[in-house]
Amino acid sequence: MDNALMLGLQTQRVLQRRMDVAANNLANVATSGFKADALVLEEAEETQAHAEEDPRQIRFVRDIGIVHQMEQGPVAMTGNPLDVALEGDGFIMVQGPNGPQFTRDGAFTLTGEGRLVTSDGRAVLSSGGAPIVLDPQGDTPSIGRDGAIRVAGVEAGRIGVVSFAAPGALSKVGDNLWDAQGQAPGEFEGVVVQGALEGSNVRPVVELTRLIEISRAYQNAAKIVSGADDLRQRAIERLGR
Amino acid sequence: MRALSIAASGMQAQQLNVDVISHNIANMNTTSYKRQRAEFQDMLYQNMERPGSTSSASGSILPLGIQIGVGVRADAVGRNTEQGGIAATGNPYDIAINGRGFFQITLPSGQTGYTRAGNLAVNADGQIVTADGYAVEPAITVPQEATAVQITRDGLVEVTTASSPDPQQIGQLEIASFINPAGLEAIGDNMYLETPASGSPNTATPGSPGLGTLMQGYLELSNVNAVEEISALIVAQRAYEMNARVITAADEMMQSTTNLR
Repeated sequence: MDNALMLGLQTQRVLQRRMDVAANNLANVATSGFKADALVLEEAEETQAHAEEDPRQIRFVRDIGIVHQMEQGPVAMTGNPLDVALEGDGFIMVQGPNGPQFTRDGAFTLTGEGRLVTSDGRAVLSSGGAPIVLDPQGDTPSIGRDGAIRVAGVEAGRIGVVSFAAPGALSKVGDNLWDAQGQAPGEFEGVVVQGALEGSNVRPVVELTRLIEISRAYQNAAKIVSGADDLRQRAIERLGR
Repeated sequence: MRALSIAASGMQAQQLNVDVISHNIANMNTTSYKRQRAEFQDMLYQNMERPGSTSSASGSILPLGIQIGVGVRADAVGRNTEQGGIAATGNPYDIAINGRGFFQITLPSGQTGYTRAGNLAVNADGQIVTADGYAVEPAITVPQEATAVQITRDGLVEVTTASSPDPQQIGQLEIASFINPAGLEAIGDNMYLETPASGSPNTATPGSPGLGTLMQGYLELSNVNAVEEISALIVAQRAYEMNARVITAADEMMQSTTNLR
């Protein structure tokens, strides 16, 4: 296949992935604690297809990774006493299938037995790594800026909030959860806010602009592919005459 | 192309969001209605390149990996059990609960229902019932000759009659609280049922620690805030439109591929 075709196809492949990432960001514009993703691209040198001596290098675009944009999302009051938002770099520890997983979605509820859980029923862990259980007959709990839960003035547990040296290297596992990828958690230096939730940090204007950009670039790449194909077809017709 | 199905999941999520918001707005004037809120989660991520794999060209280790999310889903519709506003009605059988707690109601099925809607009434037999005619537990019967009924903050029901102007106690109202009132099952008619998520009811007289007190002549309003709901509606509508825009863009991309030949 000739160079223009290869270049065009590779560009289209990368643009499709960029489109998938932008679509996922926009789909999660209302997801609590969601962090936007961006595809990292690099130039890759390849030797061009050649039929003569002395081939030159051509440059492809290649996607090498995803970065998570870890900026703080907007914190909005919800009035629900069990909603928790984090201000600052940190994650709340949640019981995962194999050890703790981490989340910034603090939409918590209690089970009938008084266990503090996420909105899909996973146990929220204390700073010691144990599930948090509150007195079923107790009053509405108050949650301090340090994550300590008090029921009628008595401390009933402390929400485990940790931070990571490289939060961008955590990986998403879905359900608003993150996997530490072996990174050791450190001390959280931010603030826990009761009665509020952190919104998604997706910036719709940026994503929509990107969407337009991607779709135009894709059309251009398609034009390159069809141009290269036309050229070859005409060459064959003319030479075959 | 994944973008199409991802955007479709986004549109579905926002549709549910609009449904929840419109239900809140529709119940803005429903006595003691508690507003609801849809919660969303990102769906699983597909590993296109695992973090830590070797990139072919230079032999360098990829620090990041490529994980592409496949959209969004609604994981819960939570209920906000915040106290609603309290409005004076002047009706002696209108009772608001100020604080946690629910009236216990005997449903026609024999089950116990729970409600905070205190727009009560007296039926032909003198029994205190809800607006739908279901008896309040424990049953309290007001004598025919009663001229005035007084319900204290602690739930004591007292009547005065023409023959005895001193108040006479005829019963004691009780309320029930739940550790997780948001986990109650709403069955309509302002009524809730106990579930494993709500926990079992803790029944006591009003005014006990952790429970609310009663306010005779008042009703609890819904805790829906119109301004908040309308702005949430606008946000949901815009989010829906953005996802629709993704579908258009993805379709244009596919079209340009189809038009290649």
